[in-house]
Amino acid sequence: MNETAAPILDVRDLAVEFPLSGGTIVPVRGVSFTLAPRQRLGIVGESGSGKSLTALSLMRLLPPPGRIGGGEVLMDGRDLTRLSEREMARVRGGRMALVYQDPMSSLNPVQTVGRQIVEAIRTHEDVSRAAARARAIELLGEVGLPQPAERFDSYPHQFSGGMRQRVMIAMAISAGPDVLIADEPTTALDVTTQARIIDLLGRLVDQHDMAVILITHDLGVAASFCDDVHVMYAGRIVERSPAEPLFRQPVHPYTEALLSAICRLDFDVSTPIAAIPGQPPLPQAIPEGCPFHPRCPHAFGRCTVEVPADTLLPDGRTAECHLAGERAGAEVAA
Amino acid sequence: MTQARGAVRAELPEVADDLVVVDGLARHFALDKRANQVVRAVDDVSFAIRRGETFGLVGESGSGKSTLARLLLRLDRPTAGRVLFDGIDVASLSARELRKLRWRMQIVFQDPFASLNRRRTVEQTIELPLRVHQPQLKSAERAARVRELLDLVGLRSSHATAYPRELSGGQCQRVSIARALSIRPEFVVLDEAVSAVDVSIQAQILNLLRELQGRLGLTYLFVSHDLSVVRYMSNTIGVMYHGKIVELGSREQLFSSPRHPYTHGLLASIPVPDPEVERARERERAQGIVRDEVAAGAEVSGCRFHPRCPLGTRERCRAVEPPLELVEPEHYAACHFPQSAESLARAAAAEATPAG
Amino acid sequence: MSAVAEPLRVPRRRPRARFLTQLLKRPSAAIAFVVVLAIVVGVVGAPLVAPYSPNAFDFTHLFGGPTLAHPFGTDELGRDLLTRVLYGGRTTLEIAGFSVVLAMSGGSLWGFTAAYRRGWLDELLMRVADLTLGMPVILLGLVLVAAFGSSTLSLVLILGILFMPATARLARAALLSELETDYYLATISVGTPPWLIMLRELLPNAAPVLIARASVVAAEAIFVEASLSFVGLGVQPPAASWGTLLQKGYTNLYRSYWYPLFPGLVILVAVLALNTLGDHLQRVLDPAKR
Repeated sequence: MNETAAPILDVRDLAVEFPLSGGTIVPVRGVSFTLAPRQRLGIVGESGSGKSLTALSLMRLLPPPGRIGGGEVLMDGRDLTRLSEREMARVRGGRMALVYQDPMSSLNPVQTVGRQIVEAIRTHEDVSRAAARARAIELLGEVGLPQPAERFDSYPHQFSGGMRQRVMIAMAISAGPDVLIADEPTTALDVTTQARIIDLLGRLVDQHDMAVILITHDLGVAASFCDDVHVMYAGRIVERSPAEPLFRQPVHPYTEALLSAICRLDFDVSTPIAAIPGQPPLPQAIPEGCPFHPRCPHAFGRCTVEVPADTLLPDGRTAECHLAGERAGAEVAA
Repeated sequence: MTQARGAVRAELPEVADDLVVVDGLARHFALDKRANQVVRAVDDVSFAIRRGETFGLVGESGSGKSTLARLLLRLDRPTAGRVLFDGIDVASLSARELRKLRWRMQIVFQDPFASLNRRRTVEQTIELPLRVHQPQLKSAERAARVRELLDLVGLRSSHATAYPRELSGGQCQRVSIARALSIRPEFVVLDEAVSAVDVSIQAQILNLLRELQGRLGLTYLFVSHDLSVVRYMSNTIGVMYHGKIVELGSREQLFSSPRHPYTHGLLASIPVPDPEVERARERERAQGIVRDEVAAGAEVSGCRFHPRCPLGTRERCRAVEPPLELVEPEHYAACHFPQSAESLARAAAAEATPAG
Repeated sequence: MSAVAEPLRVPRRRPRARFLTQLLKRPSAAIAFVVVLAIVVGVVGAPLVAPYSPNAFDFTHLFGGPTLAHPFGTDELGRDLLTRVLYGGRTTLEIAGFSVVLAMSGGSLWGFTAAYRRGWLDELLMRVADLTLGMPVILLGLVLVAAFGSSTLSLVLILGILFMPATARLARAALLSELETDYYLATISVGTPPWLIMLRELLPNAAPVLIARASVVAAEAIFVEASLSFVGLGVQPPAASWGTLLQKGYTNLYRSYWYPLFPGLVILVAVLALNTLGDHLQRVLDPAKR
């Protein structure tokens, strides 16, 4: 992690809550992290871990009745959770942009893609229609759309899924945001397309000096893209680490289990995969103590009663595990 | 096209241990009747599945693999071609005979929730096939079988009275598997059966499926877009692209010496949870093994893969559709220039194809 | 390894019988339900509930306003209007009830056939439905009554047939969406005979929409019957219905403005309550939408 630069985003103790008829559930709690300029941060977790809600709450786009239940999201010293809706609208798309999972449902089907990008540009910048059009064509070329000038007047349904996602990315970067949040940007795409979109994202953030938060369930995608990876489980960040050591020596037992549960291309086909027993907990039934203890092979008495504190390890990584110190030590010694 | 079929048929003798034989199977959907536009979802596909083994069918969305799976079970009618199940031409059966045959073949779908009736409890779902095929069973015997099946797929007997909405995705998928196995079929089609569940659950289900195969001697057709999962599950693998099988071979052949550029592209695209490996592969992909599809569902002349292929500008690829031909014993590829990934990359560099 | 124990999520059984509690949890649904129940009990049990005999003339109280003895007032022959509304409701509910049964059974069959058979038959059945859907129900009703007379039987047939096409469309859509699901394919693939799939799997899932629809059709039938009777083409005297009472009241508006008020209100309340109930029924009956 780049410790020297001042962070552009500083998230402190963020919580998301959903007041429902049966009581309020808190699917995200105590999430803190910082994002440095040009950092590529991955937030990895299974469905229900709260990773997408975290992303949406940064943009203040939580689906109703969800709301931010506490904490701060600081950007240049301003707390985004306290901004008025109008000020927030300027931040969205301007300073911070979002790329969604499903490009088809996030594009307007009855407007040409060119027009939609022009609109996006003109919302945040006072430029003439002609200038915006020229810039839109330039952007489409930049995201790898062949013959951008000719494709400018096409409708979303005339594109393949990968091309639509490229259009979405062009739109997201049109106002030159500092932070790009990509929420499962390749999940709806085929593998060949997925790899190329991830490569494209990497090139773009370098060229435009953006910081990226990549939300994904796919550890492989995170490995290919991120400098740092945060692993979420049951609404908490359970491990924070630079990408390389995380994949080589995971500290949190959940990270370790998740990595070994992946059906890898080089996996020995004659042995069973090391599956994680049980299911991830639902937000309304998070176990006492460490939320992972019912599925954890290393769990002991303390894990069932006491929520582990976020342990800072000597190498700067952190893990919410009672055994974090020992596990990290053991790994280093081995 | 017929030539390709001939080649395959000659090399795949109908030996007795083939449970399923697919011969020249095709399914076309009419897009616009007046304009005579058709989508060739499945186009002249032939292969055989050996008893007790798993045939993996891999391809991206729109490749026609799910349509093919449904054709095999006669859940959809083929436009042309035959499916032989244990020597029986499935298309020739009457509705009644077909229903009788159905207890020998079953399917598990992708979406764990949509494949269960939301108004039926787990028990009611699992016992339906028993009611249909073994109406003589007493309700106590049936209940015992349901318990046995729940145990087999790793669910508790207390789950019997639950409704699908009370279960997780992984649990629902286990119910689907229990339903499929309830009447002890020989052949099970797994249509993206683990694609909609989380990584940790996926591993559980894959292990379960392999264990059940060993225990019950099942034959699988394993359909997936995920090459690493297909590799783990299958003995023989067919790679589908736009309705056709473009490469067919054993697991070892396909992964140690792939020949079709599309297979190379798929292999290079799978994300690996290892940052170092990924960095090297990004460079590899930058050399352009496979291009993006530009527009959805366009009909192409010649080789259907040529618009995305690094060698696709060659005259022959644009004009002539390559048949599925033998490249080594029992290994087939539908490419005019089948070659290894390294030699393909060299050829592509030499070709210096202009972008677009 | 794979026979992994699932976590202790003890599934709760939620029997279908609990749907009434689910329904009554919604305040407006509860009110609508009570209103409909009260009307049906009052009307069906009129001989027990009604304060007077329907033919008890009282020439000392002609066109009486509402009093404690006669809450709805009295009519031109001094008969108690509450009693008349209760007895008149019998004709109204009889016509509405039977036409709902006819519309629902005929319409469902029509729609299900179209959805299940597809192809040219679907095309034909739905074109016919569209044709009738294009015309106002009241207008068609008037023409048909003029042609076939206004006996109770012919009113039932006319209303029943009038509400069929819309029901057919709904039934078709409901079944089509079920036919597209994976669970339908799964039941076919286990070799279930078509009639069993229909009865056990498809109909119960398509039913909520149709039950809700029945409630709405009942409301419409009451409204159309009242309209026809009001213009003198519906129920014929001496038989009384809410519509004829409203009409009688209207002609006597100058002598007693109370007279048409209560029959009119009863029609309004019944129609509103049935519509509200239909709305909530669908949501409660369909577990996916709950």
